[in-house]
Amino acid sequence: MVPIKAVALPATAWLVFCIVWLLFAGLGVPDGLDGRSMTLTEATAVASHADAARLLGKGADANARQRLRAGLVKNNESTMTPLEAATGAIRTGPLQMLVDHGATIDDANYSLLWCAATARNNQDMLRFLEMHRPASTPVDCARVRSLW
Amino acid sequence: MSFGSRTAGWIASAIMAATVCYSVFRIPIQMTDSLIPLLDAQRTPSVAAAFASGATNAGYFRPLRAAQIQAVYEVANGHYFAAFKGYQAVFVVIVFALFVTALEIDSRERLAALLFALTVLVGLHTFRGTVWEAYPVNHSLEVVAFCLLALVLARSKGGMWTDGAAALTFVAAAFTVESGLLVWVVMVAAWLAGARGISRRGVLIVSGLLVGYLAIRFAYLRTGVPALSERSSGFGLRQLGPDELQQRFGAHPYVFYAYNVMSSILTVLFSEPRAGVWTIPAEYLRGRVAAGTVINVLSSAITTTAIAWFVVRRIPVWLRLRFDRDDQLMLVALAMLAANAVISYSYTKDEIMGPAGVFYAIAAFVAVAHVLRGADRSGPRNAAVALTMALFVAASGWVVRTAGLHYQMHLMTFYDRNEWVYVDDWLVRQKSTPTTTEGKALVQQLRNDAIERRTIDPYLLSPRLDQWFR
Repeated sequence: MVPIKAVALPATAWLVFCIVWLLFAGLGVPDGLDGRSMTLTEATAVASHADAARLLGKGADANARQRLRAGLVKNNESTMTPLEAATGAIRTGPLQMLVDHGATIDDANYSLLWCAATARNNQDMLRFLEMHRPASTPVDCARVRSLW
Repeated sequence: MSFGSRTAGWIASAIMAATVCYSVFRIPIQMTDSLIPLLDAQRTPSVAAAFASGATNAGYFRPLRAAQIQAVYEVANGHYFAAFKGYQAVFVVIVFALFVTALEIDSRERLAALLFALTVLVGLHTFRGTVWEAYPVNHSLEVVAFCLLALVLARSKGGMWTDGAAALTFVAAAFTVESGLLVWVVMVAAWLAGARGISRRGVLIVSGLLVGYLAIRFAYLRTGVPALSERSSGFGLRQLGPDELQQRFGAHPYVFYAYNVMSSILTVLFSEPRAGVWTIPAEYLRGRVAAGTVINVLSSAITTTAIAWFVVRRIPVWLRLRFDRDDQLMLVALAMLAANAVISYSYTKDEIMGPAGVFYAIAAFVAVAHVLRGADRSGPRNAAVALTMALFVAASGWVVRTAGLHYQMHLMTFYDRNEWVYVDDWLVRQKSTPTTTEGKALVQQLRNDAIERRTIDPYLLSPRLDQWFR
């Protein structure tokens, strides 16, 4: 005869987890997982177009260096601009939206973005940068600091 | 003991239903599936007009679905999210309540089997599409509720009111969406298996209504059936677009239809293929088979083996036309699997096998309860140990898959919110940009509601969890 516990134990553990989960959700814990706790840099890194639109709509600076929490792109917490974070995104981020809201791609940051996107093999970002390439920007990744 | 088991069963079901509702309420009203019907509802003058419109759409006969959208829209009085999600949550609760009612929990063994079955119900991939989507009313979930109600009626004490309720259930289901015809399958299969809560007269009335439905749809309204070139569908290792389907199967569509029926049966029993696509070879060719895919197939294979074992053991009894309550549940589940697959012949999609998936959970309940009762205690001790291990692995796998439903629903929230950002572009492509002030205000309200909503971003949890939850 098969012990009842073998069948019931996993589901029972799940039910206990659900009770704890619902209680915590009711209390709004943990806040850190709430999409609204993200900076514009983080929203770009996880390709959350909705949160990027929400933050830009409230006046967020599309060029500001902001917190990028650990684990999204790098193992450690760091600060980056949204466009820098977008080079490490695993999905296509809200690039055009950033540019439409004033994010600049110029001689000062083009090489950095291009080389970081190349290092991550981020083809979407590379195509986007190609369309926004400043007229006279030579790219030499050996002379550019690494984002990663 | 039976009272304690029954109460515990209801509590467990309530907790599962509550968590599913929680995740349902995270998802905004979807843009691609819901916005145009809502704009239509805004222009439609009454529920009756919506009913008439839903009865005459080319290719579909869904008058009650259109009427429901209209009714909820009018009741919402501007609170669209609360109204439509609340309506969806009501059906989630109804499905869980009918599920636990149908299984009649009156012993410790049946309670343990219920816990297992609840994770099968929620964890099976066909349930995901059944529960999360709304158009903006979730007719897939409604059909599941109607089918379970039919089962409960069939196994009730019966009477004139039960026959009347059966007829009403069939009409409501059939007028909501085509797969509502599965209610008839439940009633007939249950009657043939000896469940006489719905009397022979009741079954004949419902059968007459089925004939009437077919006559209205095909002879009077001539709404026909979906064409081969109407939508994409999986075949082999990838999705084929409508043009490609027409090119490959236009001359002999029955090959494609047979593939779809077999795929639909196999996906419920073994979690492969998914929406017609064989994911294990497809993932292998891409470099790595995901852990979640292995968990899905393993948990399903063990569970299906237990079901098959029960069926093989009971066939001699069935051949003598003797059916106990669990036999009835199992036979109805098998009938549903076959019927759901057959009516899904035209294309494959995980969610259209939702009703069969729910009845697969019922079949799993019967098989596991049978094992736990020690009906097979005659076997050697080593076999019992192996069986225990196998069921523990399956039960654990189903829990992972249950957690996966919630992960996937939060992922759905993420993508749905992203879609709303570009709603204006999408409306232009659909040639559905509202021209009235009210229409524009509705779009803006729904967009703001989606974007401002409090959500758990699944990528903040971990960017790699999707490998485990497939």
